[in-house]
Amino acid sequence: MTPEVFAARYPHLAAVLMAMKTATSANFPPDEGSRAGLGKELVDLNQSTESLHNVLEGLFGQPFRPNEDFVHFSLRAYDFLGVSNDVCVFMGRLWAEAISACDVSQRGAFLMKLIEERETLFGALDFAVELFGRVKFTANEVFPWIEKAHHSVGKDLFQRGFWGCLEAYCTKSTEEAITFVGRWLDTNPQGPSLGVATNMIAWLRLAVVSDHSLSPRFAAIEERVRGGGHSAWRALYIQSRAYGVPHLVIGEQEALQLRDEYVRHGSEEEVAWCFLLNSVLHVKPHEEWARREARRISRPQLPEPAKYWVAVATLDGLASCSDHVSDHADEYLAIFSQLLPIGAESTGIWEHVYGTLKSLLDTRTEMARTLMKTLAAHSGETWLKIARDRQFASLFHLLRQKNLHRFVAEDLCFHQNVTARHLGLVIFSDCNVEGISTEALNAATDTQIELLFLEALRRLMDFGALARLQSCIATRIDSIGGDLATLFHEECALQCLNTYKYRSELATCARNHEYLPDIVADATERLANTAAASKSPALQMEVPGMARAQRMHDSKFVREVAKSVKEHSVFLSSFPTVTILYGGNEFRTFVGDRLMEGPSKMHRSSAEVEVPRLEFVDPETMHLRRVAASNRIAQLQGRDITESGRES
Amino acid sequence: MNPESVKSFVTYYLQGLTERTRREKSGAKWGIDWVVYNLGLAKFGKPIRLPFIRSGDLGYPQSKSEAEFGIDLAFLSDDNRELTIFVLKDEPLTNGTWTRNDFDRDLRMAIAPDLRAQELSSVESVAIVLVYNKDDQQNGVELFERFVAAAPTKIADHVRLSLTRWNLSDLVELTIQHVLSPSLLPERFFGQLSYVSAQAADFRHGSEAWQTQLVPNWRRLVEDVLAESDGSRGPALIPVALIIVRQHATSGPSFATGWIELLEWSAVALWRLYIKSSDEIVAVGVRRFWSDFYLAELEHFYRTHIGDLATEHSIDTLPLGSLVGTVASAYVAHWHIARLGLLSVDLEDRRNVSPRGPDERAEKLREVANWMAMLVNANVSVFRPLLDIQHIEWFLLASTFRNAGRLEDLAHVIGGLVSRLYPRRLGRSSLPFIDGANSLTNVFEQVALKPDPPVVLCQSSFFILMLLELCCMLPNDLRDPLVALIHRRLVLGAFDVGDPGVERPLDLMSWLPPADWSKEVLEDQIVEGQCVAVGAFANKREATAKEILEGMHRLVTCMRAVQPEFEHLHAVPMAACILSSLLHGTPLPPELWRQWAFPIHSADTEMKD
Repeated sequence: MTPEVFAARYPHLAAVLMAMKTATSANFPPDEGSRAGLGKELVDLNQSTESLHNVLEGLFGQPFRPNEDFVHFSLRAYDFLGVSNDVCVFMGRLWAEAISACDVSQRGAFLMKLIEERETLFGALDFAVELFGRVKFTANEVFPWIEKAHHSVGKDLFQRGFWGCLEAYCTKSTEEAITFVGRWLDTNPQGPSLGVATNMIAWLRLAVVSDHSLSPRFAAIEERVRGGGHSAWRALYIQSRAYGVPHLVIGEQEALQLRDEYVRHGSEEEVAWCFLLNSVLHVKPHEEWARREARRISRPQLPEPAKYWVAVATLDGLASCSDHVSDHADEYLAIFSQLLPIGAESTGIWEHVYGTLKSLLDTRTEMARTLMKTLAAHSGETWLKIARDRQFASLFHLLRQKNLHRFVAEDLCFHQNVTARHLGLVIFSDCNVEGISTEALNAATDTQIELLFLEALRRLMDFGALARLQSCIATRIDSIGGDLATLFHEECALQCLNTYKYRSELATCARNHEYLPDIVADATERLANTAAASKSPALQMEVPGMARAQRMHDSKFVREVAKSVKEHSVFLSSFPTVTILYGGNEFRTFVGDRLMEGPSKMHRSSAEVEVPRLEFVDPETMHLRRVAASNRIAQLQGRDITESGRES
Repeated sequence: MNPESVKSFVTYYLQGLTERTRREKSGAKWGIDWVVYNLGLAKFGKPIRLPFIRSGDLGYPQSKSEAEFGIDLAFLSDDNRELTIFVLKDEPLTNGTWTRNDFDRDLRMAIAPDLRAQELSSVESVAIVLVYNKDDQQNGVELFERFVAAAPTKIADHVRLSLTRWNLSDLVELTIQHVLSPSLLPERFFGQLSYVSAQAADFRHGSEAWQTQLVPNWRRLVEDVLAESDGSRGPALIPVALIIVRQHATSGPSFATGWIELLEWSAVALWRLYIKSSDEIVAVGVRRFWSDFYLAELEHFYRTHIGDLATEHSIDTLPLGSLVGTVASAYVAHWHIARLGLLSVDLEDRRNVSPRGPDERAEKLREVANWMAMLVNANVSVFRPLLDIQHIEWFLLASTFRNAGRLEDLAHVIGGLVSRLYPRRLGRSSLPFIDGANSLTNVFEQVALKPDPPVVLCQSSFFILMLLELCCMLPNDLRDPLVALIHRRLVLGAFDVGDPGVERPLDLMSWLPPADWSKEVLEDQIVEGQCVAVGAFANKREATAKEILEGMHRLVTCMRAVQPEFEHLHAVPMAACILSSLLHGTPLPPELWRQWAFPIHSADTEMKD
């Protein structure tokens, strides 16, 4: 029983604690009123300083000892009390109270019991943060505990509780923590284990500020790390300098000294240095030198983790720039462009790039357009790959939502860079851009128009989009005239023969053009003639072996489509595939010992794609036209540079 | 096929028949008795008197030895009131034969039939039909008319008697009208022809069933017919059998081309017979089939369908949706190229059996070349040879243009071919390049499954060497750039500019055919002869046409030294030999084009400048 006084003041909490003690299954208050009452009581209790010893004795008898029952009881707290910081604090207080009842030999054992079960590990670490903030532990007591906890969560993405415990331990038991770090280093930690030392050194640096008596011991640890002869340890040291309150951030002189002393191209220290720059870059008054250093170190060949930190720093800087300090924006953009290209496999950087772009699209569209142009020009190939794989497709949706898709497409379609133009076409197509504005068309040079036309000619893009694009540039091309106009009209005629989608879209978009409607009509007539002629008795023979080959092709095609669908479908990849042998219209599922009632109807889904006719009718011509377009582009690019020089 | 042709070939067949069908040591004699028997069944009711016992040994009726009293066959109508009696003769009706060949005697006996039998008790009229499958003379006809006038009009006072005669024309007309079916052929071949006719109606031309069942069955039937016949009867029966098959299968959508293929197998078999037989009547029959049947049908086919074939992408569009269709359309395009080419080659052939004058022949050559050009212009599949053996089609294409004096067009077409083969040679296309070791099955498998490693090769080619040699019959200004281009792009597989690339040069191949190629090629696929591994003529991209031409001249000279004179059996048209090459998949002797590209008088001395 909980003490009556306690139960009177905290009725909901008392009831839940009793339930935690006795009930076999979780019984988190189901109604809104009880949950609100419980939450309020936890807040009130955490704000008070009253001892909880009586509560423990009331629940577990006198004299209270933190036995198995208590550990089991406390690790069920999230199930009964819900998940919140107040619950963590309350449970930490209970544990601190409990550990005060232990002798020296029992404290370590109690700690270890808390993290024995994998299922309750994360909750235990959350609760232990408060415990380490309230109770001092020796290095001997916590060493095996931290070792085991780190081993258990070291490879997990969620480590908040673990690091919270270490930070609290460094703050509360600073002297013992210094001893602990020393012992930790004695074990020659590798990989993620180094992070324990890194972070603890950073937190200890903050702690010794308020206790100067420990400074010599801490300095000895720092010296050991810096001078230990390990690249990883030096990187650890540099990285540890990244943490701190603003007034403790490493100064320029000290930082440059570190850089000169340790940072070499491609080394671990360089990665740590970039990490340090990332943390310092947005802390005044250090941002100036940090930006300068970031610019200095940025290069396309920067190791992947280092590139990540610089990219994050500059993109965050870009996102935080307001218009009146756009000179910094230029600087950030310049640093970022020095890092390009970004590899397609650098998912972390691309995630950050897309995040920044989305943020900029909300606030500063011009900057977003500039960033996209920079990306397209310097990392176009990988961006294309990512776009083709449909990763981050939400950016294109956002562009369309913000009605910026046309501007971005125009920026890129008339870009000097080949891949940027290609990306422009992808955006034009994927974002369903209706057309290119008259202003953009008028601003484009003849060469830019020709380059855009040729780029579209040699790429496979959505045929409706191609028709829209070509209908936009038709008048400009007519005015240029000559071979280009001839080639353009040939291409339109060819594409009219290629797909229905192109034909119908062109008929709609170019209905007022002088020639294009006639081209569409002519193509329609030619197709009708072909269709009629292909029914000729002279053409009905079957080619020996064709039927078998077509069957083989169709089977392979179906297999590949099914495989691809499964790969790209979250739904299908989450569930096992069952091959149905009999009964193809309805199904039932056998669960446990019974059939689920009522048969379910099978559903069929299908998708249609128009096959570009000429890719099979005349693949050689299509290939040769693309080659010719590529050759002409190469020729124009050479000329373009000269022209640009003259124009500028 | 027009009705006149049908009538002509049925006439040719019927007039070659004897009076009675019988099997002899020298071969089977096919008689009009079988034809009249089937006509009687179709028109006159049930047979009550036959000159043979049906279903005799080896599928031939067995002759009866009993006295016939002038009556060869007799049929009683279904209501038992009309009796029709046939008197058969395989001689012309003339003054001389009237008595010498017993026209008079047999008719006199026939007009006095014995009607005492129970089944004839209801007979009210008797019709005597004199049937002869030869021509007649006015005197013979007059004798017959007088005989009719003198003959009684009644038998035993109550049975009407009438006499009539069927000459060859009547017989042909009635045959076409009533018995143009497998039953027209000797009983021995009824089953085979019925089976083939049913298959031709059911199977799609080119399908697996067509290839593996119908074609072998047809070839067997033709072989059997030719083996068992004597004189002109075999060559005369084949077209009739074809007409019968056509009549059965003509509603099949793909039979138009299937019919041509059956004709081709027949033509090859007949030319084979031609070589083996010393009988002039056989030679006349074979030549007649070749020119008046096969080539006439081929010409009629293209005259009818060239409008469709010359419609843009009509062949290219055949099957859509995968590269399997792309390969298939190329095959169909080459099929038509070959047939048009055969027309041209035959017209040009000086040994041509058709009696066309030079002007008419030149006009025809221009017309066929126009058809070829129309087909080439309309269909890009023409530029997509997939197999090395398709050098035959390209030789025929080149011949067609050359025969019409259109060498500039030929150069243009070869240029187009090189451009389209180039990406394939560099491996930049999903379609494989040409290699002597590739088969249609391999190519289909490659484009359908894209296996890794590929099942097709790109190492050696006879086709490309032929292409180079064909260029040598062009004027120098057209020849030189093409030769250099083909060697650079297709033989070496080098890029035109910049880095030449890493492709391995193609092994050019040639072939020394066996001395009796013209004869062997009609039999089956030739495995004799010697392969000549040539390699490339130069190993550098910048090789000039002159260097390459020198290499080619050396090759031609050396090969001619080994095989001094290419012998062609002059009596067999070249087109027939090429047709057989096509059907059997046998390469052509290089001398066929070298005779134009490297004329003997100059090749051994010095090359054209």
